[in-house]
Amino acid sequence: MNTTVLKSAARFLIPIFMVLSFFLLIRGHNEPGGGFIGGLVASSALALYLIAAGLEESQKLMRIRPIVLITAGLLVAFLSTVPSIITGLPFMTAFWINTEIPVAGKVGTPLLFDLGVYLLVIGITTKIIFNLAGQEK
Amino acid sequence: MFLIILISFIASASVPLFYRIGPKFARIVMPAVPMIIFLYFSSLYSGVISGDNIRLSIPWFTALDVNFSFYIDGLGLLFSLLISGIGFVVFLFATGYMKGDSLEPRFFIYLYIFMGAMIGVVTADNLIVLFLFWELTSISSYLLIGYYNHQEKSRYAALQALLVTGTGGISLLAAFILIYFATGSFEFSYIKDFGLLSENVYYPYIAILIILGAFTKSAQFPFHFWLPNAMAAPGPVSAYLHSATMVKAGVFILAKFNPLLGGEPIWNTTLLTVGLTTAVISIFLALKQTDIKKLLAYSTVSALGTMVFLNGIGSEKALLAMVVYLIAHALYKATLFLVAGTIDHETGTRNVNRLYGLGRHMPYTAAAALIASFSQIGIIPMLGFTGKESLLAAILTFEGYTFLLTVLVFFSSAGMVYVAINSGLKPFWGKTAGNAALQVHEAPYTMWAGPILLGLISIFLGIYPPLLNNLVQAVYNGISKDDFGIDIYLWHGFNAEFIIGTLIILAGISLYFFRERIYSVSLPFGVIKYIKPSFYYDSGLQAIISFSKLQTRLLQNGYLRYYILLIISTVLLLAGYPVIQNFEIAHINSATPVTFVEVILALLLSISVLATIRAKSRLAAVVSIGVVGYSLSLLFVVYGAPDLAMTQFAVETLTVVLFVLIIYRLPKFLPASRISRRLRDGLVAGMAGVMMTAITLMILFYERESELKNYFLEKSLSEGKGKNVVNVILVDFRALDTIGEITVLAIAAIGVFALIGLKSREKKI
Repeated sequence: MNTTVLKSAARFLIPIFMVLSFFLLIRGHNEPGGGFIGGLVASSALALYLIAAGLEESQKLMRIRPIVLITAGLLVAFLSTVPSIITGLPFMTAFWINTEIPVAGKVGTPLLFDLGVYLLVIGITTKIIFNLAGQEK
Repeated sequence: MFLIILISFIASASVPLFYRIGPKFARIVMPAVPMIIFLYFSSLYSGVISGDNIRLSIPWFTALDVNFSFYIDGLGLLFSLLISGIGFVVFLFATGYMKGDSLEPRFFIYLYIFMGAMIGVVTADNLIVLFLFWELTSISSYLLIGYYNHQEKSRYAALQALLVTGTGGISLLAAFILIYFATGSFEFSYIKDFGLLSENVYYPYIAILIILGAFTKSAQFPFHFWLPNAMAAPGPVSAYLHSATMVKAGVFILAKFNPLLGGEPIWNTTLLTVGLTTAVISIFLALKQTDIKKLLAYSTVSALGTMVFLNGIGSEKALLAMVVYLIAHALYKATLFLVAGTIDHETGTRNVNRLYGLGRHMPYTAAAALIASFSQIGIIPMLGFTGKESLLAAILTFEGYTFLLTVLVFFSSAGMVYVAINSGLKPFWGKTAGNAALQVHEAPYTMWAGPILLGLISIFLGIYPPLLNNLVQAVYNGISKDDFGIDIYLWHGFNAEFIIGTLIILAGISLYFFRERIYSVSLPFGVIKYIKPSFYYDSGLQAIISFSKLQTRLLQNGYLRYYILLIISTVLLLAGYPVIQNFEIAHINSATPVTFVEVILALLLSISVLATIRAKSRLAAVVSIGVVGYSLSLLFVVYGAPDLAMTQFAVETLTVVLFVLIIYRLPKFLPASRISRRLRDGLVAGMAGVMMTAITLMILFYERESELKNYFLEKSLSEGKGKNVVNVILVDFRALDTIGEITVLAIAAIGVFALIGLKSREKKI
């Protein structure tokens, strides 16, 4: 499916998808969205590009290997639990910064946790898709 | 105290480090650890014999009454001293025996785990902790028996030992739980205050389960068969686990629970008959053995049987005899096993008929063997002599079947004498012209110093009993209900015990001289096969394997479609019944009126489902099932669940992409051609659909309001600082679930990598 139209369309669509997915991630706490959905949207964008431009170009576009994303995601998610461990409160007690930020509203450890989920979902989906695509050759 | 129990495990983990520093250094450290433990327990001696039992506890699962609590009384101290003391000798021996073995560090890792576990078993106060350590001894025994894992025989023996003792472990756990029901506690020192449990409704079950656990561990008939097979282990292991310590754990448990369970026929009669049967049968089996280690193994089983039946007799003299016999046996049998290991190591054979004249070449080993054999034979002034005297004293004062008992004990003791001569003396005397003896030289001092030390202790305790007296008294106080002043001394005069003892020795010597005759007697093996318990073990194991193969073939045949069929059918069976039971017509009428949008969506769904079923190619099927998914997400939009709708959209898209990626590599698309198969699949699918509809309708009628729903709606903004309740639940209220899920996802990704990733990487290179 190596068509010019799809390829050019994908080039334009990817940034929009990415912004959308990030937008979904940070607004997730108050409006429909969240890390899981955001991650899936971002993965769909990459899948689209994969179909349009092939495996090698997609990997070049991503720059980071999926496995790194998975590890980073897990790490970030666990990082969000650190404050509760240090202060000795029940595990995973949320911590918040009191200043409000546009779109996201309040910022705290749950958002960090969601970011971890987001990265992990992107990592795993692209990992599976890339692997399957890589087999084709 | 805790440190002392931990130290073996710490040492176990540091073994590779020691060997990194240097093998020579490591071999010096190895025996030092048991020595430290031994010195520690020795320092408790004076406290324990004066009645100050030590108890320590760290809370663990307090709600379940499971704590890291330890308790040292006479019995615990005696066993700890034996484990660490003989442990020292065995570790020292092993540094010589295992030297140069390619997996030498691994051996010591296992051995340390075993020693730590064993110390744990005998000092644990909490029964659950005791169980954990008990299982750990079984596992480390498995690893040690299977140490020569390139040999089929070793692997077989290791598995056998693990399965037999593991079964006993489970029954022990069941007994402990019943004891908890009976007394409300897992702490033994607390349970002990209840005294005899015979009034309790659980009593017979507790007694039988404890007995089962002890019998499997201590290789009592009909579970004795694993111990001779376990001789596939390296020499030091046989000496340590399978004669001196681990197999005595069963005897330990029986003694420990004697004050709680003793005095009833179900306890005493079982122990007496099974113990005696074991003692006689195994010595009978020993007579025909020519492998020096098997010879010793069968005589160990016999000695364990003797201890068990002494516990069964349960009189003051019998319990006293049990303790003395136990100490004496541990000291001489460990030595004999180590000597057997040395012989094996130096000559390369374990066949007693090929071994003679080694004494001149290995004088120190011979000396150790001599002392140990004399102790087993029961020659004055060895501790073995005291042991046998007290055994006979216990038998002669037992009321009922005295004569029969005496005859049977006479036979088994004569057999012990025979084994002692054949394994401990014969290989060393005689001329050196033998083929096996030609190039033999003495083993390094590490391998004979320990055995000689054990022999000297045996003599010392025989001649000078006060040290022993106090300890045995402390042990006795712990395992018996009756008060009894113990006074052990060597010489009782020319009484009946001494005369019978002498006759036993003479009988044993004559057995030895008639050994050729014994070897030539052939047993009717065709019949014996069906009496052998190991036959039932083998066929039972085979049956289990066949069954699991069969059910794997039926349930997991590798076709995805069968898995799905099976899962859905199971759900239908399990959930269908309550649905049929509780479904009422009123449920159908309850449904809200249908709107125009819903009708359109339902039509769209139905059409795309039909298209999927009728699809002629895989791509068409994928696309139409995609339409089903998108219609569903539209449905979510209509019902006001944007989160679900978005997720469904994204998942659906990615699924189609995945299909597209692999579609070319799937085998040719074959529609389920046979009409019968189509009907079956359609039936199952239709029923599942009906059931889901029924369940959905029933949920609407479910009266009880879920409190969680209100809680989350209420607290989402105030506690979770978010208006999107679903997301707040995911990342805050139920974040622990989520973190578990994403971890599983990450692991699944590694699985994917293993399944398909490796192949593609190969191609890239």
